[in-house]
Amino acid sequence: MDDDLTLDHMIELLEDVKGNVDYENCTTLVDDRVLDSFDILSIISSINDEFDVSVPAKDIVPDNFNSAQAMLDMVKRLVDEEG
Amino acid sequence: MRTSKERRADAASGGAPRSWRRRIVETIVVIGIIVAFDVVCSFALEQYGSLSSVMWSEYRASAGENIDTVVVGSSTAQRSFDPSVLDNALGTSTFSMATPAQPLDDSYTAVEQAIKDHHVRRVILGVDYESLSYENWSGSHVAFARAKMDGEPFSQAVADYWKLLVSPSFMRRADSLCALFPWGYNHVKLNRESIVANVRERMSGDNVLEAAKVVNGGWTYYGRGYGNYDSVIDYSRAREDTSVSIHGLDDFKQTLLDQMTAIAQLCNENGVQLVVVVTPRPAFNVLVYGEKYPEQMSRLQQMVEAEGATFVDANMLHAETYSPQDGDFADGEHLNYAGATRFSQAFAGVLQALDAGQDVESFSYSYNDWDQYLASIHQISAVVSRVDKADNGDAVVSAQAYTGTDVQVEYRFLLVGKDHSTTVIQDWSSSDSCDVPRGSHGDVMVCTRQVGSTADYDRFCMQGLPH
Amino acid sequence: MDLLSLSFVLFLAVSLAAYYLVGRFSQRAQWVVLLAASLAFYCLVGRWQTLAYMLACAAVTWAAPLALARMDARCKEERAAAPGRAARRAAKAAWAGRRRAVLVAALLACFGILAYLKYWNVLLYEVGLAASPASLGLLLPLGISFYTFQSVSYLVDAYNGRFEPQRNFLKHLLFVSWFPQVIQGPINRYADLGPQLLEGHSAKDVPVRRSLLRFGYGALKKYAIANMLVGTIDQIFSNVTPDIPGSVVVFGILLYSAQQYGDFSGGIDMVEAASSLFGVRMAENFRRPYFSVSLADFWRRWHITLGTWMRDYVFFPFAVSRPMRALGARASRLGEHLGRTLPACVANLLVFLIVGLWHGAEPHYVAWGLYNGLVIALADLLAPAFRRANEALRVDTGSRAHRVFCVVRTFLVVNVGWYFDRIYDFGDSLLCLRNTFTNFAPQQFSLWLSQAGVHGSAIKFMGFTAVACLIVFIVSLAQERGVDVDGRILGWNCVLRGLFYCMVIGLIVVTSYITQNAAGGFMYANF
Repeated sequence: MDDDLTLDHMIELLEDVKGNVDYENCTTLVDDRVLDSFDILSIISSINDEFDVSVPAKDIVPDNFNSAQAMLDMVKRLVDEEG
Repeated sequence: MRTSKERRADAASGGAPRSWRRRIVETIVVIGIIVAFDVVCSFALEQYGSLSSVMWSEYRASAGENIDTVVVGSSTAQRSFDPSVLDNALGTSTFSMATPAQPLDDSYTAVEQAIKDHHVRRVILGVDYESLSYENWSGSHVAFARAKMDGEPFSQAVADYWKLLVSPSFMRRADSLCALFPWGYNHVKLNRESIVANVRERMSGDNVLEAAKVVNGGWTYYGRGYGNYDSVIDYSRAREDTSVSIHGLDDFKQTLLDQMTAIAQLCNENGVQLVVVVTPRPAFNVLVYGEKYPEQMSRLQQMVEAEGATFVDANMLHAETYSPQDGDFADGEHLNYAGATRFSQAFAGVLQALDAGQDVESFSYSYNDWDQYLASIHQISAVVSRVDKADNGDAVVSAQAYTGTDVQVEYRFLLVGKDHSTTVIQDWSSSDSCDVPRGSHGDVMVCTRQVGSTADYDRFCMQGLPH
Repeated sequence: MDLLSLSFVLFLAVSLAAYYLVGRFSQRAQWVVLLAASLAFYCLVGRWQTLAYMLACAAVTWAAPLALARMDARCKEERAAAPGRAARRAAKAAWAGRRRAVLVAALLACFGILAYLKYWNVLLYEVGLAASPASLGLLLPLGISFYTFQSVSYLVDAYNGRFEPQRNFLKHLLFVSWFPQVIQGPINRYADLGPQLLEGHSAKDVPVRRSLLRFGYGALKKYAIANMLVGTIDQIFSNVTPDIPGSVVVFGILLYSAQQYGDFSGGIDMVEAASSLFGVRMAENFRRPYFSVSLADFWRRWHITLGTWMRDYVFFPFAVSRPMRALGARASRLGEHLGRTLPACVANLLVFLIVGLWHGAEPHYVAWGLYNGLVIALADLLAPAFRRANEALRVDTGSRAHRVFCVVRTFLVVNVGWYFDRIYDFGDSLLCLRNTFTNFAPQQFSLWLSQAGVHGSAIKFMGFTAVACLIVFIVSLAQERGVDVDGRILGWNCVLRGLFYCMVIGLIVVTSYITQNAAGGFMYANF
């Protein structure tokens, strides 16, 4: 399972939700309004499907969604907490 | 050495550090431009020859004369009392300090000044319904204060204006800042001719009185602060002439009643007799208020009498004391010169009775007997109309005649075409509404007369139709 | 007290002087001046009798997070003392339940007061148990919706452990009562505003000229645009008859869209400017909403702080709740897109139902909220269809023309929404909407307006409003392109700047006078 938790996998997931975004470098996805709240819900739903972990409401803050890396870190933390 | 590009970038950011000296200079320049703009606009736009400035300049010119009575109040007071008529009858020496739309707190200021300068014995305060129901007279406040300032020493002028800015009706509103630009409050029409004419008048060397005659076409000055017009009301335009159509219909405001109390107390403290007079109007402009009129006016009457002052409603006076003629009015609210002469004569009689210790209340109908007043009107004062669209899309014109309760009214409706041809669309009947035939163009003429009359009409009005 | 008035200027001057004077001696005590100013302002502008409600709200949202923190500490102790993993889990679950109970109780208290004061009377009236929407004579405290929402955001953030709760009640009270926000928002967040209020500021760091410029810009919007139009709008919609021409309705609604923006965003500009004079930057509330490319975009640019509040405290928590996730899973069997968007759409409807209620409990506000929610939800559900249509029609979605098309389309959609917002009777809203299409009747336009009491002069004076709108449009367009307009103006040479200020001041002076006097036709009375 942990093998899946890579940045590439996360970016792939993000591109499925919304294309044409530079996920590798952008660190202000929320702050610059690249992702809106509907996108974020889609991402959460994809994370749920792909990594089998649910993101609680209290973790839905801009800091956790501003970059692919931040999202990955959040998912890793949530997986750890659940385990 | 910085490149020009850097300098531009600095300038563009606006937040670039500047020396404090330069900042101060810039600030002074900006403020200087704004002050200059204010001065220039005041010169060009502020009405030269306003009636407030006439009043104050004439008042100051009479400084050495004896004044024992002053008239204060708004334009209705200004145009109801002719000082010379009062003085001839009573042997007094009256000056009119009434100015257009003078709010009660400015009347207070005027009374205060007259007591200070002349120890006047009597104050006649002319009011109408709107004096107590309508507060937004910021323009008149500014014009009054500016005219008063004109002849005063600088420090007194500044104190007067500051008093205006921090007065209750200004302090908490935008007016308290905007009135620093007084030209925004009493300006001429914002078109070239009016502005040029105003500047020319100001520079011509005319004093404000000469200028006022030029500015107010048809206005004549009769001395002692009193001026009036000769124009006569057109009763067919009563719809636009009612005060309610101009100001809406509100109850009396407590703040305004309080200001009235303050004037009464000021007079009491100085041993001055105060007579509060509701000025005459055509009957339609009393009837338009319906029951509100006696309801609200009786509040005023009680308040005035509680303060020991005398209250007279000229509209309620019995016909043997005062009965205005059709041609006495200039519009729905004001008397013309001839009307004011007649009213002043009648009112001098009331004052004589008062001086003789008679009870002047018996000269009037009481607000408690409103029906008696309504029954006392034997004329059709005016007729007004409106047009509505019926459910089937046809236009319906309905009329309302303002008259006494005992008068029987009949109506006739005529269609007046663009070529002035007239067709009767509903002949004389008691019905006050009429369906307009489909496809009609032009205006509907609504005629009214008393049943039994054979006149073409007693009163009429015109009603435009939807196109 | 108007924001543009001598009394407010004097109030600001005294508060600023006190603030920076205290700052000379102790920056740590400066916040006390802000609190004193805020409470004084509340008593000056609102009714002091209603201060108690604000104090109650502040007390609840101050005490609850402290209680939560203590419970956290107890929970930690219990878990440390627990013999095994199962016991630790049990302790955690037990304390989580208690924490939630505290949160719910505090929320009920805050919203209970708000609901009672704002909605109870209207509700009774709507079901026929009260004579009028105001028959109970309840005094609606100034800014209650704003400070309640702001306090609740603090409460929930503290519950989620975003920050250490504030121990000093007076410091918390300052956050709740900060005077620039209390009239009409914005709804600030504690993490952004709290530290700014409490840390000291010195006068030399304050962007005075920018603040004054912004204050003037706000005044221009409020006086030259909003106040100039409000009377005419009222005359149009206060006597809606079945034959009201659509042309009049459209005119009224367009005026309303300008008035609403001018009033709200202008007022916000003025309070933001006032706040920034104290070195305190509040959250932005508007970002040129009429340049939005979709209704969802509009709501990210209009009343932004209400939108983000709804997003963080209603939309996300509801959308990721268990029932919504189950709904998504079930819907995804019908299609991947549906599965992903349906929970969002339902959450969105809920959000806009609440946004409608925020404005008032009357049915037309609810309809307005639901209209917005439905349009956004449908746009999202049908997004793939629109995409396919665009592809089929070879629409270049990146082109400027397409962007302009989207902006205009959104503007129209927003304006249809205003029908339900502005026309105070739901039936009348529908009637006006119908007449817009079936009875446009431009030939009846001027007659109907004059019968509604709109003076010809009022229409003529709208020329001033048009000039002000043009200024706002140019400024907004430049800002859309990323230009720092304030910086540009401040960079002009001082003569040009002086002349520019004269023009703006002139507009405000003239329109401020007209709005109070033209209604009676006294614009040119010779006093």
